[in-house]
Amino acid sequence: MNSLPDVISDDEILARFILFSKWIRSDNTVKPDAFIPHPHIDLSVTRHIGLKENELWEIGKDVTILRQAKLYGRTDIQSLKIRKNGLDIIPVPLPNNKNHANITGWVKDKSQQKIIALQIAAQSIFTSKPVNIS
Amino acid sequence: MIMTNNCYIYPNIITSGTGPANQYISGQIEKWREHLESCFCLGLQDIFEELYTIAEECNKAGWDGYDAMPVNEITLQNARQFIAALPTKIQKPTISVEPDGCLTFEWYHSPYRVFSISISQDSYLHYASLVGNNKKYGTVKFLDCIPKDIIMLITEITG
Repeated sequence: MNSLPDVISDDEILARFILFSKWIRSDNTVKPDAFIPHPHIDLSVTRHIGLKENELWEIGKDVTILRQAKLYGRTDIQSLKIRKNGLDIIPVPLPNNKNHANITGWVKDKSQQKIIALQIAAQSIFTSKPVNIS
Repeated sequence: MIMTNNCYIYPNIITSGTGPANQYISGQIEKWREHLESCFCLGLQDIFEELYTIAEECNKAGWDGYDAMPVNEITLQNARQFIAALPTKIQKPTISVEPDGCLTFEWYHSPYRVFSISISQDSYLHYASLVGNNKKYGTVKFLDCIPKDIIMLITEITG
């Protein structure tokens, strides 16, 4: 795999894997709860860049194995939309996920986190896990 | 239901007279109140069951597959009180949990017309409302009644 750009451009797409069913609404949109950064000060995402669709899902699957959780899908959002909410994204490659990144710059105030999470959630697009991914 | 000190509460209705007309009115009010409470209780039973199910599902650390904190008994109790304090006319919310262990209630019309409120174990209500480009958010202490401003934000979503 080629090395990824150190700077995440505004047009890069980021995925947040959804491992809790109650974060998905009945109309296949995602609740803001999926974007609340706790207990860490950052929020984990995976960069799409350089990955084929199946490779992206394989990373999601690896997360579920590591976390002993069930994968329900992922929600995608463009980097620019994160930055427009006063946040930033920095690459934080992991041994098992070179495309890992963190959304940083969250305020501490919980209600402000919620309004930012609402806006991010509104702009993100949810995709259910494909049937061939266990 | 009446509003006082910017909160909604149930009144204890007392009539002062003793004549037949007063007795009739008192009887009708009592029947109406019992009917209203039974309807609301039936609705509450469903939402309480959902609340317990979700709290049980999230009662261990890491329930979100990342490093979420568990929902504890105090948070559950606070959430139950919050639901019980909602005016009867308000539509039922959907329930969820945030990674810090707060239980959340959401009133949703569309991604840009949505209200979310979290209740914490220390009895704080953290809320955020998005209606088009209009954003409102804040934190208040939950003291067994729901502030009027929050009810108004909910009704902005539910209509």
